[in-house]
Amino acid sequence: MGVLSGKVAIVTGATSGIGKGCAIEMAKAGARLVVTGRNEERGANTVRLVREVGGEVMFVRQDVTDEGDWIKVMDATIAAYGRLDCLLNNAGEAVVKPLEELTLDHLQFLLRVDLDGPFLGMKHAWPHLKRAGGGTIMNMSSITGQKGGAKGSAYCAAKGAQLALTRAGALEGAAHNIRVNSIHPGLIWTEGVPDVMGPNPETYLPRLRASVPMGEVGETWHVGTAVVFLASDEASYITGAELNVDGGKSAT
Amino acid sequence: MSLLAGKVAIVTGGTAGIGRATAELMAAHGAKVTITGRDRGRADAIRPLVERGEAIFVQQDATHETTWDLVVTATLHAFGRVDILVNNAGRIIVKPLAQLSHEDMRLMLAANLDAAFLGMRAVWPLLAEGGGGAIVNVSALMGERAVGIGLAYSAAKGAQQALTKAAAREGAVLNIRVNSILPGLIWSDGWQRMAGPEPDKTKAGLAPTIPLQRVGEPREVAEAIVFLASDQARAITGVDWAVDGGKSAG
Repeated sequence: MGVLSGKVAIVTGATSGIGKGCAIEMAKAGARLVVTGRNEERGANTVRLVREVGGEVMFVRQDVTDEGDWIKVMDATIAAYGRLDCLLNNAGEAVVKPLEELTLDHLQFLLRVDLDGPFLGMKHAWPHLKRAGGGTIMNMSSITGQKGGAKGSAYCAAKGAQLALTRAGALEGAAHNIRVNSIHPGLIWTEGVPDVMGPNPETYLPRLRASVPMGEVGETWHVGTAVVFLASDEASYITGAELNVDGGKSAT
Repeated sequence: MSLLAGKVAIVTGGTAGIGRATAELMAAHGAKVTITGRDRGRADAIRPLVERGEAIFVQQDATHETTWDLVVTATLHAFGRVDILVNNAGRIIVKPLAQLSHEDMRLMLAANLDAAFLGMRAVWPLLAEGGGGAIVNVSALMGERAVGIGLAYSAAKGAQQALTKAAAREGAVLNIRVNSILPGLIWSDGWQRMAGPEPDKTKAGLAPTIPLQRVGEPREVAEAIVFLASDQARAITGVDWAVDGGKSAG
């Protein structure tokens, strides 16, 4: 019996990276899953990995900035499992550029994905969570949502706004026993890192490792175990909180 | 679930409230626990754990440096190693600033800062030699926020959180993780003693001040402490983590 046995969870942006890692950990803890993302082929890969650990899972293609897609995801979830207990708003985008090179389009793109996405997810999950007698929402922020970061003005702004959304959601959800929390990963190794840093990790990994007090770049399952705890009944008194999973980076 | 199988923990202030709930939960997760407290009479509360061989009790005033040698020696003698320290022992004085004496302030710093410092220093070499470990320092929401009339307590807990972060920085290369838990309003023995002749009424009266509309239970904080102490939290260090029913979100 895992700590999420009997619970139904939606994980957005689960086709790669942290979302994929979280889906696998949640499945190991017994959750039944709906995983979403834009790429069906990669979605099928996540489904295969979740089934390999014994999980029950379905993929729904979704663009989190599209409200119609959210309605589709909720309908599919209820049709398949009859209930919803947990939403992990993980899908997100980052743009890392000097301020002068950032365009208004960049900012608006990040706000759509990192803020509108979680907002729509919370809004459409809300009635189902209320009907279930409560539930949990987790929004995947970043340590740069709490502190600044060079070349991250648009990203930090979007993730900071998302954190404010989390807090307000926590206060409003409390009366319905809906807990809303924020998770702040630091440097985590995902398929996306080479996209930003370049194709030869050996040239930059030593520098990345050295920037983390614990001396290693985190793994997606490090975030996944934190998600599992927050989604479980063990975290029954934790809402509106920020949990950093960053190897000590933000403490320094 | 046995998150702490094979681990050995020291929990200060472990005969009541959050400390006792933590010691009990750690034992349930497979850990052996050294429970310390100032009052031997209150050790009755944890006697079942001791009788099952899951815990030992060591009388300790954690603000006295010499007591830590005893705690560590007794732990090594009983269980052979140390993996986890929970600096939970603490004290609170609630008085307006004008009535706080310098002595009150020194007492708050001794109970909430010195004790955690001494505990960390006492176990540090053992954790380092053992390849790492986890320290959880129990602070309070008041370490970050002004609540009621707890100036000296808030200051001491704030200092304790800075201590935690600095230790996290230093411990990172040794694989020693150091984190702070910030409980909000938890129905601990301390609160129950302050609650007057009708504690249930007092508890119900406090509920509307909290977003979740209820006072927390020690067990709910213990769950977060066990998570941080376990390998599930292996990339988490230096955090301040609120367990407060949403109080600090508003």
